[in-house]
Amino acid sequence: MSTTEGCGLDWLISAHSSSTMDLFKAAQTYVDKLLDTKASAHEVSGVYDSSGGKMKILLLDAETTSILSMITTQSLLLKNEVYLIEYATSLFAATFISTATNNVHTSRLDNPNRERMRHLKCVVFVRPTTESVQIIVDELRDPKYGEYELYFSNVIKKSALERMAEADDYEVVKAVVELFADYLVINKDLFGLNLSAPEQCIFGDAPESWAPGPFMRSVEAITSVLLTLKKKPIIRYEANSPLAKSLAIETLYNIQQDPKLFDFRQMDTPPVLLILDRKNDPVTPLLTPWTYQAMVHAYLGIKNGRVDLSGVPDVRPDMKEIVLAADQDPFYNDSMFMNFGDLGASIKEYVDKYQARTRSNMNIESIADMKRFVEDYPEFRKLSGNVTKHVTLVSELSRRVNTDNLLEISELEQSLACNDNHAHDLKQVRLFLSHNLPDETKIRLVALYALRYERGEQPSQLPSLLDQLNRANVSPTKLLALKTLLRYAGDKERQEDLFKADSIFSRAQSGFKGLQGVENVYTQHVTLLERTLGALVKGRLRENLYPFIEGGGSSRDKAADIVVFFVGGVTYEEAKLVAQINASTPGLRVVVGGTAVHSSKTFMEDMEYASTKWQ
Amino acid sequence: MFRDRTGLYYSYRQSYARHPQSAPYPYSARSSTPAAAAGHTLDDARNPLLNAADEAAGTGEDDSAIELDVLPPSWTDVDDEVNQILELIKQKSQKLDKLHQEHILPGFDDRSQQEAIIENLTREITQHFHECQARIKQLGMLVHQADLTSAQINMCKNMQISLATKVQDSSTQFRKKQSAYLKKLRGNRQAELPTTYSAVYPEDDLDVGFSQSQIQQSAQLALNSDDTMIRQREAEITQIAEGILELAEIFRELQTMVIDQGTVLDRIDYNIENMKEHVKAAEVELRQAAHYQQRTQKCKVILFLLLAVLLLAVLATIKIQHRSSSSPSPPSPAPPSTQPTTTPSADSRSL
Repeated sequence: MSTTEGCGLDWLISAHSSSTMDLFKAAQTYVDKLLDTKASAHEVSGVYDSSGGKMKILLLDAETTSILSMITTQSLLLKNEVYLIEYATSLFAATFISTATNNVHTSRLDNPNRERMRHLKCVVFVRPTTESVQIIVDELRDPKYGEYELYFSNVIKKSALERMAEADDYEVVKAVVELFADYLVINKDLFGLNLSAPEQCIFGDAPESWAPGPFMRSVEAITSVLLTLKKKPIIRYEANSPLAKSLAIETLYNIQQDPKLFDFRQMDTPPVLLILDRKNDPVTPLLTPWTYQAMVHAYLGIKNGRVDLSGVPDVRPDMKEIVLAADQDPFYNDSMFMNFGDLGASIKEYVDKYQARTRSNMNIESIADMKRFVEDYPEFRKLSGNVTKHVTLVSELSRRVNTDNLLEISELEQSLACNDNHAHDLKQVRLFLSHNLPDETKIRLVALYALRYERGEQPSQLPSLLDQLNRANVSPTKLLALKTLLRYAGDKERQEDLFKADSIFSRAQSGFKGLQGVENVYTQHVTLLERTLGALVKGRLRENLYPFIEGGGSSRDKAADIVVFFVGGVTYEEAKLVAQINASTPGLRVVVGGTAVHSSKTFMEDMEYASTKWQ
Repeated sequence: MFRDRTGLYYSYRQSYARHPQSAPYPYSARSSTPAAAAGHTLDDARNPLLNAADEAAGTGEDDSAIELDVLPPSWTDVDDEVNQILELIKQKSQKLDKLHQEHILPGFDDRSQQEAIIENLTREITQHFHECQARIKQLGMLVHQADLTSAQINMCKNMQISLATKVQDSSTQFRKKQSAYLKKLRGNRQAELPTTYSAVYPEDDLDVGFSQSQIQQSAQLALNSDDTMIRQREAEITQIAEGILELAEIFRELQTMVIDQGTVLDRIDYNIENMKEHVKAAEVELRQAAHYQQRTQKCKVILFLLLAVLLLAVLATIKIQHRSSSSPSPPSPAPPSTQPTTTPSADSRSL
């Protein structure tokens, strides 16, 4: 055993040597490894080898299905001879039955979920949980397929490895590899998890405690991101957040558990892992967003890159559900951070381009036209589908802007978030509460008011506003969620004055130049993250507010490689900020992630859930 | 980055090795039923040989069933076949490329032989594409076979999509090459026939390409001039153009099978979610199809009987009329009317 331990370093093979922190690119190397695309590519380009092209089945669990769906496509799997894709978990239920009945023959009848096909090669890609290890152990005792390659999305424990090795009587396992892809890649610099209410809310029984499952999941995701990016960071966290602190401690523990794994080349300035808590900036998720990706998430909801449009009026049947993936969709990649006005211009250009193509495809008079049409057809079809998709999306968004009075509401929100004008704001909020608006919007406005004027010169008029909400028949659970929000992220809970620097100074403070050239009234608000990152990059982040974790090293240098993790969820607004910083600041590489990607709706849902837990 | 744990795993496995000759699947020695191993307790696993003896005695009848799943089902050969054909196409089109390049150079010696080779190769490649298409179609028919399990149906469908995509890529490439060659060839011809060509074809037609009318025109041109070389060229060009059209047909048919990229259909999670529903839907469809087929058969029989009844009724009325009209003196316009009546009546008698 000691000999195998000794050559541990040999197994550390660098998957990608590029110094950029691009999660899509890193994920691509994982997909290549998983599907062994190099071998298939060889088969396509070189001499065909009939023995090499073995058909494959891919076994996934529920979470790796999501992970893989975000970074690759069905057609790519098919291209690589993966002809069957199934959940591994169905077997788990079946074996459960078989051990219960303890009858060999009935268990076989009860287990029709996956057929024996030993001509197939089985590629397993699962999270290294106890359940999936058990599934694999059972599978290896009675292999259904010819040979197995086991891929785990995170570090697999040696004890689990031993258990599987013990069960592998037939020696069907040909490879065991850890691919550290234990998180969802959303943008090239944004990763996330789906830890939000109601299934997997991060909150425990008190505001200071984690729910155990989501806690471990977050630690694993952060560890995995660090391994993907090959960073052994120094860890900083927000001092006032017990959640951030325990996450930092556990992450450090994980890193120290396996020092060989984290034995990367030291850089001049150590990378920084910054763990933030949503409660220090509750305003950003409450504001109406105006950039493409954020708007789609706010009004339609992006779930694992998929958008459900079945609720949209007059939607075409093939557009009931669509996919938004920046790595496959160049238009989306270019426009995801555009504000709504620019987006309109950009989509018009896109449609014009499409029209030109259609016209040239319409007049098919000669064989040459036909030939050209057929040659262009797949590309044309792709373009046509994509244009329809984005036009549908943008027209729905613009419909919502009109029907929901988003312009007026957003103006008030920005005024609440950025200006100190109590009398005016109060009057406006009262006025809007008397309008016929959705409950969510009313709650949001009152929440912003409450957060803004909780500690002001004039006494807060929150009780009377709550009264007004009550009279307007807003559901009590939503009112409770509002109170929970104040308990969670009220002035006493925050460590920095969120509204300290009004819009005039905040931009100058952050120090990032070239962000958001033209300001307009709807996008005045500056996220706290911009200030925090600005200070961190300059080496001026205050140590009493953002301490280093004990035993994890410290550095007063200016940081260059930064991983930010939001406990309680990141927003697309912050993702946009990070993307802009990455694009405009050479030498600085930031990746941001969170327990979830929140819109105001999901954020308030989390609060609703928390209010039931924290009584 | 990733970490390969295979070495560590192997060393663990070796340390656990309990049976030295543990070759993969010792079928003859151990006829494990699919579920038998799943039900093994740890103790069983530790005494595999003992266990194997028990099982061999107890469950001998399962042997044949187990051997079957080791071999891929026969329809999976289509995968290999199509891949092999594609490989052939690749080699041949490489050869063709070379020939094209040689042929495109101007020369004085007789090159009909070379042309024949090119022609043959092109025809063969087009033929290969046809074969691919036929195979893939066959695979599609297989889905409706009753004895396939749901997993096999899925595999079958996925294989079909994958192969269609591959053939599609390959045929697109080939078509692009062909049209490039065509362009060059026409460029040459124009050089050889500066006067006649430019007279017949306007300048900008070169960019537009090769139209149907042009095929005809060039055929006429070839007929008018006695120059056999020109005629050959024209024939060649016409043939290539036709070949491209033929390929376009294949292309269109296969395109319906290929997954539209960028849509939800190309999502792995969506496909897994929908796999079971699809299979169910397919089953319903199949049953409905069978039902329809039965119904059409019934309909046919009913229709046939109805027709027969009608025919007989008509015959009967005509016969009655004929008798009543023939008893008086035979009139002059009889011949045309008698002729049709006699033949059916003869038929009806034979019936």
